[in-house]
Amino acid sequence: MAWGAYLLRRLLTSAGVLAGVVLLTYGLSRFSDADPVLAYLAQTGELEGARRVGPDDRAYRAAAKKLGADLPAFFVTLTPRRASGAGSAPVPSADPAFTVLPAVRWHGYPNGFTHSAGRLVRGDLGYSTRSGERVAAMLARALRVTLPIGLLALLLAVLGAVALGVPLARTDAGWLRALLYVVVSAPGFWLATLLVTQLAGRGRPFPGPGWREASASLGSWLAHAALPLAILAVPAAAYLALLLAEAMRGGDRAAIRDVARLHGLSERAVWWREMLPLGAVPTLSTAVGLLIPSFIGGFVVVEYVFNVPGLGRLVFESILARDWPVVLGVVLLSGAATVLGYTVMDVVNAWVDPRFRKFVGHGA
Amino acid sequence: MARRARHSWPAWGFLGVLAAAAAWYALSGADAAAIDRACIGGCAPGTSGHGLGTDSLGRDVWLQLAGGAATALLGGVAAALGSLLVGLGLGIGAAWASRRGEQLSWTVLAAAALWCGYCAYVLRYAERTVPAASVLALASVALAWGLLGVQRRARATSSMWHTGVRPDRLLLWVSEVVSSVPALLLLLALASLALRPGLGQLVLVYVAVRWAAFAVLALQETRAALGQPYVRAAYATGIGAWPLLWKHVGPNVFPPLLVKGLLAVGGFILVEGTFAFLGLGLPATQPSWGRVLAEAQQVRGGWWLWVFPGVALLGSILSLQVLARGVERRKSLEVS
Repeated sequence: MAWGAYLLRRLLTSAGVLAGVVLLTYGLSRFSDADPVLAYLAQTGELEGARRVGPDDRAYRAAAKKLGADLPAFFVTLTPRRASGAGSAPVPSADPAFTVLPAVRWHGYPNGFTHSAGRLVRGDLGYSTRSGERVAAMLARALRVTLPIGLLALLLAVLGAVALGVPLARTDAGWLRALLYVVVSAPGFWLATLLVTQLAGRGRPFPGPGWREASASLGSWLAHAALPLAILAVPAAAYLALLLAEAMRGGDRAAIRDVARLHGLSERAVWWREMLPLGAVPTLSTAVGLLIPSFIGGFVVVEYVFNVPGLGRLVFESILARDWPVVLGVVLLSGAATVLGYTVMDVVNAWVDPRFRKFVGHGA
Repeated sequence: MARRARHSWPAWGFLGVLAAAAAWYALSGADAAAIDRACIGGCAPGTSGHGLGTDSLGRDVWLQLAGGAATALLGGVAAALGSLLVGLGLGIGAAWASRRGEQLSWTVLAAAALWCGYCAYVLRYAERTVPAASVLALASVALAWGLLGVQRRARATSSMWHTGVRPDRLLLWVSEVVSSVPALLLLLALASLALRPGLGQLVLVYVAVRWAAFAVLALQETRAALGQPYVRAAYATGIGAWPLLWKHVGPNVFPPLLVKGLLAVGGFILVEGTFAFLGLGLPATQPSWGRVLAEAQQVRGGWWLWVFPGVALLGSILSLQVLARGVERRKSLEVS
């Protein structure tokens, strides 16, 4: 397939998947029982004074109109049949009793989904039901903590993978392979507990759970970030090293290695200059794409254990507080990051190796 | 490249010990949540009748590990089997249905979308329980079967049934959407949004997230097998669809899925442990290795609280990987 055609198809596929993620997130948000309008009113301060704001208040109606909460949920809605008097605006808190046959209604264009998709395009993710703060602002604040750790961990993982993978490919040492398998299999929450109980705290090499801003003191930031970084980067490095060694040895690579040796290259040059680039391109780009989702899962555990005010801790606390707009904001953000990672990895692979251009689309 | 012969008996042995501990726990009627008041604050192993010590609340670690083995193995096998069956059915079905580039017509797709909406409606307004979800899943299978039959019969008569989307492309799109959201995050969101805590619900949520990986693998393997000359030859002889799938396609598809299934058991153990560690998704009465680990930060110098569950977790996950590798290797030996 021509390069341009491939690129176009790949980007269109990504856009389709992204649309699916938005639809999935929106669907999940309609399952929650929290009222987004009350959260918005709490944020604007209009809730103060009035003891209880109900769906009939003028302020509530105005806010609902602004948030699209007065619109039907989707192009088509399925709601339980009411015994008497079909109400026009569904009230989120008062669910009618379930009936096996639903009432199907067609609503058409202005609906809750199009409204929230439109707000999403403008970067508006709604308001936290816990604090009333803008979700986008909360995510941005958490990302300022999480993103440096994530990127640094990714870099360390790649460097560690090269440092471990090349010797593994060169020697095919069974003990190193076994060790790497054990490290890959170690559950993140076990590793985190191990490190926090053995290495962190008073009288130990690393400070206890807590956080320092990098802008205040870089050394202090590094001391606090070291263990979280290790928990993310070490298993990732082991995983990448195993893949890299496999890519440097497997398939037709033995022939290339022999040719390089016959050219009189030193053993070192054979592995580092000839074989490493051959194995590195498909492995590293593929794996870096796959690592993004696993890192986001890892952040939940690591930031919980080490009390880091980042994205993982935000989503954990929001789940405990049943703060769905924030939870779904994180789900959406990480879904988008994952799609981006997959896209970049496919495009890089196809750019380097035209054989990859046969495949469009990608599953786990 | 000469590799030493590898033995899988340590893996079988470890899993056997876990299964025995789980069975013992289930049969003995012991309660892992029972509190020994003398041991509040944590007893070291071997003191006051606790062979593996207690956590800070005075709960026996051995009982929690044995009960946790029951939770992990039972849940893991159920979750892996569930994802495997759903993925296998959808993957083979989609590859078979689009083997000559057939498309699902928009009419059928609209009906399917309406059915998805109905499922969401039931989950939104009715009690969210495992039986309700199972009935919905079974009805979905029946409906899919019926719709495909309708489309096949109607194709000859009307052009409205011709154009649409290829089933395999549709399946790939859906699974890419599902697998694009990081699994742990989607699990956390689903488990706390839709369902009450409990092992059954956690298994269901895990299946709802993990089926996609199995479906993609089954789709790719089936597609590859259907292109094999000997499968095409068998098809040309007029062999029926079921015998063809069972005899010629199945042996190509089952082993890779079995490998993935074994790894998924470990995946569920990991997820279940993480949930228990974070204190989400499982009721406090359900013993879990993750909960013992969560206690390790409460007892200063309580090495037994991270060593023993660590051995159980790491040992079971590694054992499952060894078994999966064994299946992989046996398959590749057969071929070469």
